[in-house]
Amino acid sequence: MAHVRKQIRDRIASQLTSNVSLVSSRVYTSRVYPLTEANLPAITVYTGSENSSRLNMGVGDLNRSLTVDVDLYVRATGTFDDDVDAIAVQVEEAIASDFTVNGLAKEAVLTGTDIQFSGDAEQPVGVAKLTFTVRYVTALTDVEAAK
Amino acid sequence: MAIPYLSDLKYLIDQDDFAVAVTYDGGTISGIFDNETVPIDAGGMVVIHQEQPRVTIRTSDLPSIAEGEVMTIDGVDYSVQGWVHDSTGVTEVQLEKT
Repeated sequence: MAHVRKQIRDRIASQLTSNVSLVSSRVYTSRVYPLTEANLPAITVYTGSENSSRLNMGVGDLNRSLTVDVDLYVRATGTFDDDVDAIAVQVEEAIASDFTVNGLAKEAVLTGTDIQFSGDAEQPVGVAKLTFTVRYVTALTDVEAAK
Repeated sequence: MAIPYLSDLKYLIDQDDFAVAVTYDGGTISGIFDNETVPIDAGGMVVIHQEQPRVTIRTSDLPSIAEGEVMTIDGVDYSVQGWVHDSTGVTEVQLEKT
């Protein structure tokens, strides 16, 4: 078993790979190296900051709120903005249809979207950052199993 | 004494040296084509490596340059997206691969 956070990240990546046909399975978790024309369009998935607190006094459970960033990358002439939104439709619906992240979480909710564009290179690039807040619970003494 | 810079430009941007043929506006002109790969940061966690096509041309060869015009270089069509006149007779044109 692994940390529930990793299980959540992997499950979301798997869900996107299966359901976001517009990126042809180009879904990368925690990618740090640049993307190239051959990689696009693509999705990257990162687990970022996480806040946690005791669920109740006397109870050995930890209530966790995890930020999952799903970045969409598009390179296209003319339709880059429409393409970003088309992929966002598939991403949002894929994660909404797996609201509890296969039982690992209490909920996974879209809490922010940030879209930017660049025209500095041979074709325009559009990037959308979809931020999901995933709330899950583990025992203090066992972070490899969701409760 | 004035520096004969403008008259020298045709030698600086010459297909016998660093320039290539640019098909443009029904004719052929000369330009120095640069297409380096650059990292593009559009806000995601990682950058995208893309080529950045630019061509440097004598301003006098582009009397009415306009956005969307097509330039063909080495058999590849590019559309004009922007340009910078440097006020010394040289213009750098920003291209988009069509």
